[in-house]
Amino acid sequence: MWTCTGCSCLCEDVEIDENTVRHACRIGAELFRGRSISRAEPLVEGKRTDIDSAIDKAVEILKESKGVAIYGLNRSTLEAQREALKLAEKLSAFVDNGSEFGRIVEAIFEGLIPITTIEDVRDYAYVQFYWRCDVHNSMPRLMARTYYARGKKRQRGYEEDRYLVVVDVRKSHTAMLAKKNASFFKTENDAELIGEFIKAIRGGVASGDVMRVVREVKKSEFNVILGGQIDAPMKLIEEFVKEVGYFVPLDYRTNSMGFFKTFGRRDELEKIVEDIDTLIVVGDDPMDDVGFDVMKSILKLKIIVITPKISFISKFADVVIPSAISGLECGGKMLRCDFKEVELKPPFKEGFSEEKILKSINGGL
Amino acid sequence: MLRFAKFLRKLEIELTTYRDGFQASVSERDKFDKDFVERSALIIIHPNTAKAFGLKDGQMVKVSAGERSLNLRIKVDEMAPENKALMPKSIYSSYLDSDKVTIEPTDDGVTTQDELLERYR
Repeated sequence: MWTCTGCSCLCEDVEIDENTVRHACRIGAELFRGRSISRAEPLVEGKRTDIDSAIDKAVEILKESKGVAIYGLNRSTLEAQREALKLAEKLSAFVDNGSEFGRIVEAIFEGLIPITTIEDVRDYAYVQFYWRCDVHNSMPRLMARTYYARGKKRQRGYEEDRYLVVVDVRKSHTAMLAKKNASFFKTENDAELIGEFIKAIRGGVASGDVMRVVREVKKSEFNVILGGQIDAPMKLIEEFVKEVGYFVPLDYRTNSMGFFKTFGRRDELEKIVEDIDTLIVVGDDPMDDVGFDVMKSILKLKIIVITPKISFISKFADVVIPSAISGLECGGKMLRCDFKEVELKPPFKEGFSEEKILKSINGGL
Repeated sequence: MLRFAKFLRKLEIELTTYRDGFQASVSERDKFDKDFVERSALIIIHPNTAKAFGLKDGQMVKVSAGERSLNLRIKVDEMAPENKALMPKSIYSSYLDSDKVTIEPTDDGVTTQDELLERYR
């Protein structure tokens, strides 16, 4: 069985043979099935070259650079992230992975927010809040492992032994799953709703729907908030998690937690673009995330792209260095969304890992 | 207000993005494939909004944000809030880069990836 690096669930039960991918979600299945489609080639200024020449050109650009940022690294192994850290230290470079989870992860690292694992959620959690995270789309197999699965202390199935709470600004696909033993809260004001929950848990009065959920929360010792981009002051989130039980940050980016652990910070690309002349993109595509005006400024910079596949940003790159797909074609370790370290044993062995490419660049500087 | 707007055939609406599982899966395979356009060049509105403004599922629309515009396909789905339009997060939504857009019918075809990339050059 193989590990899927399609999202931060890092499902470790994927089976593959020549024509079939089993157990993976639609994202994971395409990752495995489409592995050989649209692969990147080594390019310097749009012209095909060999990988060593591409790396040499990247080194040459970096030697002349006055300000560098490294973007991406979300699907990179911890080993590649550490190599990128060395590069960032050597060049005094900015680093960004485009994730908005920095604030909450910082609070987790400081011990202010108690976290738990997917396995413990499956085995013990009664009330499960999915707050501002449409996991049905972003991490499609997560609920099969946390909510629908039977666990050690949750043997009677989700309709009796779990209580689902979905909070979102819209009726997402995940919200549509909130039927029996479940509540859906549509809100644009997370802070207000969290305040109501805290008040009700502490014995105060709140709206009927909130009181109903709080009655369920009080039935169990083990409840969990699986959180997306909760829009509320951090102090309030901390208080809420402590009242409910545990937290799991649901950043779908595969090794985003690894990024935060490795770098301990994030320099938002949008804010530092004026301070750099070179951008290194590792395994990501900022053109999917960064707005047009900032992107136009970025495209004026020298751009080095390390990518397994042809991406939009690779069409504008001065240098493209093709890499292996982490987890599928090269091994290493990643952190799952709940910070559990997962060892990747690749079913295929092809190409150069990002770690190796970054090491070569580091060696050339 | 909605009744008057129906005759204007131009809808001003807030826009929000979301991660779509199908769009993410075609991105994994090939960003330059037609499936990518099918899953990314979309704007989703609530059935009540579609009815009020005479817009139909599958219809082509010009979506504008300031001076930038894209030709996208309408998807009518109740997962969109009544007061907002939704777009899968991709280069299409990043290009518009706005929390408010104008939607109007068009007979033109969908904006392709190559046309979009050309606008960044």
